[in-house]
Amino acid sequence: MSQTIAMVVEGSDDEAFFIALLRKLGIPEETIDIKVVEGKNKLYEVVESLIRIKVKRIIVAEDIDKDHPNTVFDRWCNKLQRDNNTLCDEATMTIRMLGEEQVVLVIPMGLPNNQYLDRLRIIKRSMEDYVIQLLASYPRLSYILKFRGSIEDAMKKAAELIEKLRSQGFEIASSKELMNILRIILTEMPPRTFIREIIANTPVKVIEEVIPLCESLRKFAFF
Amino acid sequence: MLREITIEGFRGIAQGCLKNFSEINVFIGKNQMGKSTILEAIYMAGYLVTQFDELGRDRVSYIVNRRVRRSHVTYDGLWYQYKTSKPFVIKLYFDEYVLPIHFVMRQYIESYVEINDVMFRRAASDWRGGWYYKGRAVNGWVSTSYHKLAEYMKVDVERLKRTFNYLEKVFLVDSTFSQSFEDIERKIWRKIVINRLDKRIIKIINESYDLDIEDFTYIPWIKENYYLVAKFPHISIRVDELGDGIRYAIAILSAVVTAENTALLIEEPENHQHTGALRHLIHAILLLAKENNLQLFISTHSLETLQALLEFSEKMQVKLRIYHLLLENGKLLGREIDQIDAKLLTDLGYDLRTIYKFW
Repeated sequence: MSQTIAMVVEGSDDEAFFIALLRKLGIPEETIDIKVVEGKNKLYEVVESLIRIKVKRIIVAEDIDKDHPNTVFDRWCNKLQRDNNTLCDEATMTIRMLGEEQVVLVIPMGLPNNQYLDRLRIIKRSMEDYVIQLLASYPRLSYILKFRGSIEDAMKKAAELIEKLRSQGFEIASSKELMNILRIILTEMPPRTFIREIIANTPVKVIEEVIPLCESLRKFAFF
Repeated sequence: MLREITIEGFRGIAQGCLKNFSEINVFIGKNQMGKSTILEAIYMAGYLVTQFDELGRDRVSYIVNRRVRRSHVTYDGLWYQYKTSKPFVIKLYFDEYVLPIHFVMRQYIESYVEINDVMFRRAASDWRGGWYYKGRAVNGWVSTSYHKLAEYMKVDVERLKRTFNYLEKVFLVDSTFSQSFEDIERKIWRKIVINRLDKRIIKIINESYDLDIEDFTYIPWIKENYYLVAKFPHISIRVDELGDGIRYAIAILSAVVTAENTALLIEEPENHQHTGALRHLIHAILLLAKENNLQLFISTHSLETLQALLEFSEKMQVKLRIYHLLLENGKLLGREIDQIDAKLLTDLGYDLRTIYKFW
């Protein structure tokens, strides 16, 4: 039997997202042990620790914020560089510690080129990008969420609300804030339940189209 | 301070090495992975200097008998796969030198230090009486002092003496120890009372278990036997009748308050302990160990023990290292986890006891 994978994510919403996603992709729950680490700096510390104690396979999921996914990967590669014993592969987003048989899969979270988010001037990208895009790509979710209108209507309403809030001096720049505005418009569910319900009720095919990390996650889990 | 140990052919370990020992060393891992064997190996190393420990226990017999008592005792179980034809070896690495201690089965078990094919051993009675050494070129055993060993090893004799003192006093505390309270009373309690260390034990026990013991005293009971009793405000109770957890705690504390400049080996301090009391006990052990310059080697299955050790060692600024042991076909693999990593990962919710699932 292969080892359990140690996964670290940035927040408890990310944890809920991955638990639902793994289930959806048919990856057994016990394959990946997810832990929540608050703060980016601590994320580095924890991954370094896991490497030091010889954990074989590690997944780190980090929000891209304002960066490109490749920039996030390069940052990790530079951080984990060890005397020429590290092999970074941008194509698979993996960092291998040669000789130690350890590998880190970096998952930059967020959609850097998303028209809806660009239009709304949402510059801080994260896991919530996927949730928003899933809503846009699979309109049937409005029935599942028991929303009386269409998702399109909700998104328009969210855009209006954001403009109104901005005119009142509130700074709305992250997809996390946008997702929560959408959530409040659509349903009374708390954030974790909302994320879980959306993933659980969206067909795998749609999820795979929207979330680029699915393939690498599956490969890594079943390696 | 002991820095490293290598074991060859002892008990279930065919070969294994643990490095980078610090002030507190914690062994975790599944059953049958060598945790107790490591403690026994360090305890056994004391046999080089003296056959008996501070409690008057014959080290070899104690190790053989402590797990299972039988009417007939065999010592071959000390050898890996009962292969008594060659010595088992416990190599101890101190700051500046290594002591490779060999154990052979003759009429009784003998131990000696072998360096460059030259063997040094203590006289049968007492190492202070002198050392014997035999080189390959020498016909027969030649009497010499341990100064000769220091000279041969090219180390400072005072340093070697300190190492011998360290080994002589190495003490193993386990559940069996707390069952032989008579030995504790006879061998250790006098030292405790003379130095009024009993006051500290009473304070710790009262705080840990929410009791109001006023004092300990000896009273004649049946025939001419004296028993150690705990005096409460309205009644006195024989220590034998106190709860298992309290008795084990008194046993551990008796060892920690009296030992100095040596290693204390504690097997599963959590035995019989309630979680709140356990935290107090761990705190007291660490505090006293620091005061008495004791190097601690602790085996545990308990998450609470681990967490308390991490918490209090950090507060007291004492270095701690965790060893997750794996034993595969006799080969011992000890994964080291340092204090900072252990604290960080434990706080995050990782259970270090099951960390092997990631390897």
